[in-house]
Amino acid sequence: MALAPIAAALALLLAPAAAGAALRVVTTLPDFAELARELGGDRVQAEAMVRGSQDPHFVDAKPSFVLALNRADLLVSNGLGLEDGWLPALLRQARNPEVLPGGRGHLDASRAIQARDVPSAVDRSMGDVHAGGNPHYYTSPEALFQVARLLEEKLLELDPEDRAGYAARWRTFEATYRERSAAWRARLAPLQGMPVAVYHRSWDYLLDWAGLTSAGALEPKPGIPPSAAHVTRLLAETRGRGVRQVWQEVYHPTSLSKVFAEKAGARLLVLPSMVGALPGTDHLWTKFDRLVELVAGEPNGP
Amino acid sequence: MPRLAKLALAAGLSLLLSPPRAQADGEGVDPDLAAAEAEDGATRPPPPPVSLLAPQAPVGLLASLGLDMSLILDVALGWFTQDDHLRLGGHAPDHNGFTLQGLEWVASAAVDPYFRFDLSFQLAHLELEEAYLTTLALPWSLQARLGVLNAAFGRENPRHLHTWHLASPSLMHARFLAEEHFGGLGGELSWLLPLPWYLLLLVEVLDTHALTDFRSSSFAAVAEGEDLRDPGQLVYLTRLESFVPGGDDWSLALGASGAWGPSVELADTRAALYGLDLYLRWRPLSEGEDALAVGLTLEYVLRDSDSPEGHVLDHGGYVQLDVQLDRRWLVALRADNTARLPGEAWGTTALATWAWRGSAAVSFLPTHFSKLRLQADLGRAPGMDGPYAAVFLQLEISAGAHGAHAF
Repeated sequence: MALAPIAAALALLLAPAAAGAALRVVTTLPDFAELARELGGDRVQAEAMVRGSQDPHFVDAKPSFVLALNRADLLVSNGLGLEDGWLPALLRQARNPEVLPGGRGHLDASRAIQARDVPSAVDRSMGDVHAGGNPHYYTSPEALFQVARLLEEKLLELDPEDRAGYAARWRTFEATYRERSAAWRARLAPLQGMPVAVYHRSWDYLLDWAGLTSAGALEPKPGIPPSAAHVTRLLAETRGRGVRQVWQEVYHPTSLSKVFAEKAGARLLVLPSMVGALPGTDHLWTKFDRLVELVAGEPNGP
Repeated sequence: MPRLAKLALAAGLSLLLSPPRAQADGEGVDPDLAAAEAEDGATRPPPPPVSLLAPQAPVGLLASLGLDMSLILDVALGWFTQDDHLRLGGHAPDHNGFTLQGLEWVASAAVDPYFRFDLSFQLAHLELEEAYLTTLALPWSLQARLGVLNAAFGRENPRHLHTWHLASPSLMHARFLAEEHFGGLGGELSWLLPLPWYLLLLVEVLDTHALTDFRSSSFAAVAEGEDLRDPGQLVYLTRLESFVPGGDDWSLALGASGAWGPSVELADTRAALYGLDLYLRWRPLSEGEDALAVGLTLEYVLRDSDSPEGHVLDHGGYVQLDVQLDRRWLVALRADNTARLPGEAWGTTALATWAWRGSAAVSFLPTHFSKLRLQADLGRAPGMDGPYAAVFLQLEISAGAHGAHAF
């Protein structure tokens, strides 16, 4: 019958995209998608909406993301207001109550961490200050490990049939993390206490974890463009403090940072804040491998 | 815009917008850093629209209701080369001097796990633009909206003034849809089809009572004090929209719309609107926040109606190119046209007119919450001695927590 091929084609089109995977996981940041793959193995099909080279504050609310959220069993968001500029518009159209805030399939990863820099009051004269605190915890290995714990619980809740598989993958993940984390710390140990200037306060969690200190930000206020006047002042304030590095994300302009670094006698490091931000950082481990390698320098530090 | 002119303008505006402390320190600015600042151009992105009503924020009555609220002001200063020019009404600046295009009070909140409420009240004209409930938990990927709605016809009509990249609406919009927004009190049901790609089917019904905030340039409103006599006096609308992602960098949105209802031109006759729209966007995600991004919008409407002079087919459309030079600078170019179709009867009313217009605008966004725009128009319509030119300077500010926008 002529209808048979049409029916077969329709069945193929309408078949679940994640045949074989028990859970469809959509994440905002690529780091969370990597975590889901690590912990879920072939039980999980994970997709990230943000690319590592992209500013996660500014993402186009594409209808293809609406579709992904409509089909998702779990949404993992960064929270703390990082995605306020685009995620609510997608959730409004997704027609999937499970992934709405408060739904069984919505995981706000910031629940796993203790937020820094929580303001007592907020208004826009303070710049882009997030009411819940600094949202850039994904730059810290320890914070991501805490997120992994929370995600493990959520995956088990949604997919209890493979409890043994999740437990086995968790053991592997935890062992790898402990081993790598120790190696990263050892590599950074000679830099303990080193003051670092940053472009945006995306790195505070990582600085804490690595035992480094912040010498200030090129932005006068969070999200407010650096001005030559502010950076000149920062240069004067940090002179003599031994600032050897300036850190920034891949998506910020570098002209002002370069001149600041040159005048401060420091190195400008464009670091991978998220998985995929630089070539060869397509995995959680390689993201931090590369980051630590850049910060630690070769072979005896910067 | 030439690079030098852009840098000079940026320097001037950044001086104006610098906080007092920075100006005071201006004399001590390191010249190399000043040059690097100019090199960075737009430098950092403007802050995103964040909700300020999180638990840590001061809690008042409205915050305790979970309402996100904002006020959005649009003011334009316009100048036309001749008195005889296109006057679109609504949000458009259409006379010499200042125009208060809009002072919009926007509020939104989740009502409960099943509904969300959105409100947009135009304080400038004391007019309710939108107030509707959206369902959040209907089965089978269905979603309904109920209340006063901007009709889901095409790309331009549902979008509010502050999302436009030019200071005025398209000619097509004013002539076929409405001076402000085609819409009114009604209901809508949409279905995200269970396909591997995005395909949305939508149907909508609008009440045409004048008292129900019905707004249309093509469909007749039931007069005040009269009742609906039959369902044919309602406006029915359908839309199909699709989205084709082209990797990370390319996006293509396509839409087809249709609306049917009582004609505004001749009592007891019908009118129909058919529309097609396309939006193509290129934004290279690997190039950083200041990379060039380009958007191309095409929208076309065909109207089929009766007038006292006979059957009329007229149509219009525009093509618009938006070039985001960096986070702070945006250039928009638009070519606009409306006309009757050849061979159709001429009417004596607004249906008979044709018009064309070209517009170019450059926008500067100090942050996500403020915008300065300079626009120039060149246009013509029947009865004019010749083309007219116009220049607009527009200011837009947005205060408060404002929701994210759709693609």
